[in-house]
Amino acid sequence: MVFNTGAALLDAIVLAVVSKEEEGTYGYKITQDVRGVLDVSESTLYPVLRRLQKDDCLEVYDQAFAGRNRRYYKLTEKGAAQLNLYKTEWKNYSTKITKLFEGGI
Amino acid sequence: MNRAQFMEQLKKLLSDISEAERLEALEYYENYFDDAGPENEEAVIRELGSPGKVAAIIKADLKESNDSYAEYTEYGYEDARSREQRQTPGRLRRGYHAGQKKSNAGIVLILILLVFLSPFIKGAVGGILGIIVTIILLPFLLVFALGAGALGLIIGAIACIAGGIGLCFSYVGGGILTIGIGCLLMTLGILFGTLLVWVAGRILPKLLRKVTDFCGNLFHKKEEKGV
Repeated sequence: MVFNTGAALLDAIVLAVVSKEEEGTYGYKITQDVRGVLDVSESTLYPVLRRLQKDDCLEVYDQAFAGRNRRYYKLTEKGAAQLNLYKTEWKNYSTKITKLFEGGI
Repeated sequence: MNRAQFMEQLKKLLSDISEAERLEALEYYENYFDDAGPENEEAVIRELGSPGKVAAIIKADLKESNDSYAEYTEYGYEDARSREQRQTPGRLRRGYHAGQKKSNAGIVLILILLVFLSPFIKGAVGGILGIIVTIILLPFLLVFALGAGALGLIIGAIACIAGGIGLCFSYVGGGILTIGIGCLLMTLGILFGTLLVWVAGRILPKLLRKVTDFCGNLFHKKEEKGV
């Protein structure tokens, strides 16, 4: 990708990916989903998840799966609010740039 | 490198962070390998990079202490803090101060340059001064010439009159003519004399005042330059 992804945008993308699953989702799947839209290294996502968890934007819970514990990530209320903020900001940002690119300002 | 080796190395590399953080990270990556499945083990290890890289990223983020200054680029993890700081008012103010310092340094530089160039400047000023002095002295020269002329004329007139009187005894016509020329010269001499008195009494003091003022300014400026 030509454009760098800032920490805020990566946070927003992770929150969006997690929000798609009502019951929460797990690290490997989050990574694969994010990598579906953004070319990031697999190793960059753990710190993001950890940080969002510390900021109370994500909550974690363990659930048995195939004879082991799997850690699930789920959006908190704060996380949902944060995601809404990011979405609004992104809309403003991307609309302006799209307008500029396509001619009218 | 297989999964067990990878996890073992990662555990060692994370030994200097808190136990809670270390266990959290190790559990995440154990989970990650589990979910990827044994068939993807190699691909996951390749994609994660070395345990050193994974550990560095985890530690870097812990250092941020929850503040998200880091930037994730296609090349990995970058700290954007330095870039952001450049845009903060504090940095800008510091930049402004640096600019002021630079202008001070410029003045100092010019002064140093002046000190080094002062002999040349003095020479140039001296040359100009010479011309100026000559121009200023011109009225004095004129006065001197006038005075000399007037004196010469009067002396000549007296000589002519005396000679004319003497000549009258032998040759009356020539004597009277000479006395006449002497009177004419006397008139011219008196005219020059009055002109001299007028120039010396009225024009010269004015000029003198202007010259002294000018010189005063010039030397004052020179003193300033010399500092």
